[in-house]
Amino acid sequence: MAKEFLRPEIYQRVRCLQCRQRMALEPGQKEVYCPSCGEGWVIVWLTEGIPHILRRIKPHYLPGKE
Amino acid sequence: MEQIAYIDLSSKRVSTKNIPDEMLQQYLGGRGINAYLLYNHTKKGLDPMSPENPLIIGAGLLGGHCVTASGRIHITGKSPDTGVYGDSNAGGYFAPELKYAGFQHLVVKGKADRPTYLWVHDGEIELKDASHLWGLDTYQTQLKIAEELGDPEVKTICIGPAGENLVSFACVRHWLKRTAGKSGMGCLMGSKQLKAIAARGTRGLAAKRPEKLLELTKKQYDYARSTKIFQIASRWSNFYAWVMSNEGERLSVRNFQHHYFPEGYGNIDIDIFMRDYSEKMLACFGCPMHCQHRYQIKTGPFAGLKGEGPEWMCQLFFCANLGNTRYDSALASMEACNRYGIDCSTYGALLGGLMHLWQEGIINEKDTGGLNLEWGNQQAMVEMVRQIVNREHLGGIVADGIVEAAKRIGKGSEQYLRTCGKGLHLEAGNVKMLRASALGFLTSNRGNDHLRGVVNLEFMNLPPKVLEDIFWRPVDPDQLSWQGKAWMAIWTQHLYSVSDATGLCRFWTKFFAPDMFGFDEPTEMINAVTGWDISREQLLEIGERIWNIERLFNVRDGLGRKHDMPPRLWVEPIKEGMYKGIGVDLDKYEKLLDEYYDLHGWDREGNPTAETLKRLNLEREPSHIL
Repeated sequence: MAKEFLRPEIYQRVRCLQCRQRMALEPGQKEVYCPSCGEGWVIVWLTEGIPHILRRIKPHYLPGKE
Repeated sequence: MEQIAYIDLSSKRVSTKNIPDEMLQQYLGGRGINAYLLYNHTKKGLDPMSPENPLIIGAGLLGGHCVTASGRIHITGKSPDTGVYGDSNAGGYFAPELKYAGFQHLVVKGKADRPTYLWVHDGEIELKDASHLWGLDTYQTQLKIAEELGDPEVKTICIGPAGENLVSFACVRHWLKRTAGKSGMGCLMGSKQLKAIAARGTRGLAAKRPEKLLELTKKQYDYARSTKIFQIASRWSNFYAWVMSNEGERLSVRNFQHHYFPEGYGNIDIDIFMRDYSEKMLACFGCPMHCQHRYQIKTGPFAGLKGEGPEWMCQLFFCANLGNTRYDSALASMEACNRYGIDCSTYGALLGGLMHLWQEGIINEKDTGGLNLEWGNQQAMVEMVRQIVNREHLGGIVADGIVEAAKRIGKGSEQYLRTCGKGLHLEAGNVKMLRASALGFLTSNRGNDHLRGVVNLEFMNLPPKVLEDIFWRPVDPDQLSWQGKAWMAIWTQHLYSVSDATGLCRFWTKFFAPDMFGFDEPTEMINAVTGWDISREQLLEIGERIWNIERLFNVRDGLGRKHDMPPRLWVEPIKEGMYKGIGVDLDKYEKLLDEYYDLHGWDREGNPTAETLKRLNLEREPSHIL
């Protein structure tokens, strides 16, 4: 369904929020590292074909850092 | 020249006044001038239900112009729900119509001797009898008024039976879904026996730099359409975001007992809504995003029901917060709220609290008139709306608001019927681990509220350079850090103030996504419409002025630092999941609050200092210019 209405450059892709580089994803992929700037992103799938960036990957992101 | 109309329902007198350019430059319109008017037309300690409490309606400065998504209406008054500063904002087509009829603001005072509605058209305002409309729901009222006035293009805001029966969290509604929800502005209308305001205008609006305005509108429209968030929202609305909230463990599940709702997957996914319910998408004035579903329930106990919505926050309240995994019952209860005219958000929070009381054995069938309030009970979700509006059984106890409900039920029920320091309900989101958002929520002038203070960019942990470009100065990207969060909250609160004062929809701002508007785009639009040459820094200062005059209203009534403190729930550590052990550390929060007050130029109690008032040209308030 998503393929019908999303532009091709958006379907199954996300855009790096640091350098704006578009990145193609495999279905269900949960993390991606930007080939251009190296920044890493956690991905959620809103539905089949539509990934969305949840947040940036950061090693000390989870509890312990305060 | 923009105009204000003053309507006294008691004496049936109407007068008008032009708004000087100097006032527009200081407050813009919408929420800004509304805030000025409320502060100037009220005195300390005013009873929210008294006829002296003004109901103020304001269209944004850009409303009605060729500006994308700028048709929002702002409604302000002292809140019958919380007793503090109250305001609420709705989309649709009413604000542009009001401006085409010749008015940017309406100030309604007094109390009518019988049900009344206002008919605003091409520079004139008539008070008309609404006795035959009293008792009609919000849809019937709008249809009846359009029929009576002989023009299907009449745009109306109105109350339903909830406002008439003075339910404290009654809302003001326009169309099927557009709602000024929080703060009980519908209750305020009901207390004045004002059923509706209808507007129709044929006057045009002239921009000072029309070519520039067209160029900017096209540029911003093309840009927005190229973004992914636009394409998703225009097809699905914003409630695709429940997946992000769930994966980020930012939900309230069963009244904050959990923050992750796995039962939702496969039940309340967007695919299911699109397949089984959505029929088309609708838009507000001048907005190509068309983010509103029109839906129909085709099978089951609510088959045949049609409506519009829902939005993400309502989805959270009526699904995860109530332990409900069915769309049809969530839609049916929202629809009941819409027709009766009560705020979905407050109702969802209240019902979550009541179901929690049921779980704990504090209330039972004797209290509810036989209604079973177990988590996810579909019939109860709809029936309780009716009980509240008609003040039957438990509904009669809770119709005066959550704080009052906890007092009357007693037995420790305030642990489950939760509000913030300013008396507004807690939203169905978990912000214990979001420092800027928690601060933004709690310092909001109408109370704990994502529409006034959430910093949605915070939890994305964006790279430092990206955040610095957005917020104009370095801030810590880590959501758990306390560094720079006071400025993030302030910058965002002022952006939202400006957005509400111009009439611009929040979805076109950084509320929605990092790709959307900050201060630059509204600045260009304001300059093109008005012929001014203000900078984005000056626009931020206008936002600051609006925030401060709202604050002055609360300070005058004795509110201060303790009303900006977190509720006990937020201090308690999260019990499970990836944020286990995290809560709001009170010592660190106090320091953050100090930093927030310092950046504002307020003293330690949260009172704006004399220097701050002078800097913002507020030292002579109330000045009674308008």
